[in-house]
Amino acid sequence: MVTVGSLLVAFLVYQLVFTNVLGARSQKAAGPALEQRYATAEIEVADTIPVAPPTTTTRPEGTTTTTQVVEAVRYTEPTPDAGTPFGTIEIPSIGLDKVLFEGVDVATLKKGPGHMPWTPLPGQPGNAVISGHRTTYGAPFFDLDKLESGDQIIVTTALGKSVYEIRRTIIVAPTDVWVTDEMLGAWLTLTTCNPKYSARERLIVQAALVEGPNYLYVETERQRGMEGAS
Amino acid sequence: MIRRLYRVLPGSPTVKAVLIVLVVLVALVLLGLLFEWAGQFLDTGGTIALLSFQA
Repeated sequence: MVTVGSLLVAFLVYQLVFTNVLGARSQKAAGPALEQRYATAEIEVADTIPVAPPTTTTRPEGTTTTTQVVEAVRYTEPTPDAGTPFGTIEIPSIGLDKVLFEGVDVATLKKGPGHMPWTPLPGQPGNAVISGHRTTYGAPFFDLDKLESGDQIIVTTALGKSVYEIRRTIIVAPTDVWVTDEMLGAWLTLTTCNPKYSARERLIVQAALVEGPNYLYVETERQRGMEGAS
Repeated sequence: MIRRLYRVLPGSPTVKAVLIVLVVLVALVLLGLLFEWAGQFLDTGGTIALLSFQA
């Protein structure tokens, strides 16, 4: 009885204290590699969409003015190596500020929130998915259930700052992969375990891009997509 | 328990001490692996996958 009790206490101390110390250490250690990525990542123009055609206006006195074509640009950054830091995620309303890593394998998620490699990077069109621990390894998404529609999520990568606004929070089964599906516009999906101290379900927070280097491109593309669908 | 183990182990006191250190290390590693496995029921990292517990 005493042995079982001791093992249980040791297990809880290991999971809720020791793993959090490890998580905090990994976050701190990621700083230099992240700075290195910011300094060396080459930002490229992947695509452009004309937003407004050139216009020519003739004034009564005979002078003409011509506006240049306005283009929405989609910038890209290099795909990060597996397990390496590539940005930060901030959620001011719950005081979250963590380094993001590439990958959602067990080892990577011990360091901090991880980006699902088969989804677009944050700031890009589509649905960027980030998973994170709820109660162990730094518990980055411990307070995710406290978020409300309209709260902001700020993701900073080599590309710059992308601001997202929360649109919905749902609870799904751990196998509901449809939450990672492609979506029109630019979305950020956060996934974590639910309820706290259980892996029975997943808490999903979905947020839409409202500001950032690719915002004009995403909005133009989204509007065209909607026009095409109607 | 360690005292009992010390008595049971063969060899000189030095050999016994080394063996006990080894046994304790192996036990700690096994305990860590057990805790890691059990931790999956507490928090998997929140990933979504077709197979449950697939990270």
